[in-house]
Amino acid sequence: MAKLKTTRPTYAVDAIPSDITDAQYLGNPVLDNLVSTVIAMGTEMWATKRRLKVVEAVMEQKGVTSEMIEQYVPTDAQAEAWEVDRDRFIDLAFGPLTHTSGTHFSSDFKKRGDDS
Amino acid sequence: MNRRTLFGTAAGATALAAFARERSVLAKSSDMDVELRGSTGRMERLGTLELESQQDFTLGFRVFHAKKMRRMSGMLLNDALIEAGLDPKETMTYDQMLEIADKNPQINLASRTWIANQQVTWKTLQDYFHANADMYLSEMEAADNIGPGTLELSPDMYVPEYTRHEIHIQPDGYVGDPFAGHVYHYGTNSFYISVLGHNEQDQIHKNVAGRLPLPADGKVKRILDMGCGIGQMSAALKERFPDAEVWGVDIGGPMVRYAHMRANDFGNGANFRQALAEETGFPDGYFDLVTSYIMHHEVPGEKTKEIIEEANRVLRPGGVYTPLDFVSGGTTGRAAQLHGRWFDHRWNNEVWSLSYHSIDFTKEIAKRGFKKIAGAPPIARQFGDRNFAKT
Repeated sequence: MAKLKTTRPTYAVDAIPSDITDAQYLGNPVLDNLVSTVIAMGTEMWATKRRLKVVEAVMEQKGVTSEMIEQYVPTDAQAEAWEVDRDRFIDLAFGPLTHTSGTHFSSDFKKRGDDS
Repeated sequence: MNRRTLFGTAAGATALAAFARERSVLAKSSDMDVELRGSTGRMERLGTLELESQQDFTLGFRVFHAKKMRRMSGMLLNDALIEAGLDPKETMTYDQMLEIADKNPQINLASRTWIANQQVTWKTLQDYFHANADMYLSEMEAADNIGPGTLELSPDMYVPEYTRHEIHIQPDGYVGDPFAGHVYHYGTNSFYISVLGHNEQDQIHKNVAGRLPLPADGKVKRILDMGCGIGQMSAALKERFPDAEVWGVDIGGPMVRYAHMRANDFGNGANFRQALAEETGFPDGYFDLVTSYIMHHEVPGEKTKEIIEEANRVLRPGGVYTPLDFVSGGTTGRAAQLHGRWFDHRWNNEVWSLSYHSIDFTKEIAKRGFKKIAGAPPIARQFGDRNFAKT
């Protein structure tokens, strides 16, 4: 995750990153990446469906018809903003496909926190 | 919290998934108070419908996972043990369990899907708060110095390495992100739904706070909540004991900032201090009650011993110590139990959980100047029986 860049006081210190992105679970890193994509796709798909439910409910209250929606042409500013959001969606859903992991299995991971 | 798989609550998830029907707006605690989409009770709605919907999905998937995938995973492990000629009821080591579990692709798929879902939960939240950082930093800055409760931050204090891990794989953990409290609060709602039930209104913390035993003389003037996180337990204690001086301490600066801001929002006068549980900075014998809410499995076993000693130091004679955390003990066990612990330890990045389980927490308390309170019932089934009074 990206660190927040700010000059304002945050009362934060450096954390120790988790190492689980090095883990491989399914015998092939490509399969692991696909799982991340499937979950992200599900997230985005549901967010879209849920938003549509809100939109349709509000439209009905305001008298906006389905025909008006079908005929709508985005403004240039809208088109530009939607492209940014599309790219965010693609990065969330398909970014995991670019992840490169080691070849470790869970039993290769050492127990942590042994302070004895 | 993490949590252990106790009960799946599909009905609960459905209820939360429904759009909020009862809306309210919390009292404005400052001119900079950010409530872009109002509140449901004391839970401020997330800043965008999209983020709210993304969290709704990951919550739903988490419930599905707890009810279906982990159950499937457990059955498959059971079958694999039998196939290997082992008795699932027999005690074994982590290495023996992993030798069997690792070979099953569906068990591994269950682990991998859970992690992917957890990562999306955190990433979408952190991305949102970072994208709107100025607004939310301004909100916290405005809240830092107003009451009713007080906030003590120590930006120059030493933050030990053991506290810096990304517990629950939350990016940058509890100490490393300015919005750790925000991210933790919304992200952990789904933890509760999938294991214990609804907690958006701090119902679980209120229930637990309501069951803490009192000192024999009934006097409760000061209360300490160690490792308070975002202050849900501290606030619940203030509500139960409105006339008491309540303090929550946590090493995470962003966590106590959020705790203070949130408590102010609903007029709660709990106080918060950035401090280690093993070094709270309060005078000897200052408190009547000392508690903590599932903190100990996130610290090394040796630190737990130090924290018990600190609790003893700050409690008055006869004061009550009730640290809430999971039943502990044992480096071996049945495969199903070990698999659950391994999952939390390694994939949920509960770095110190095996260290926690390597000691008998209850016995360690009894060794350090405390006596069990006779007749006081356990606070919750999964937390064991740890109601103690200082001798």
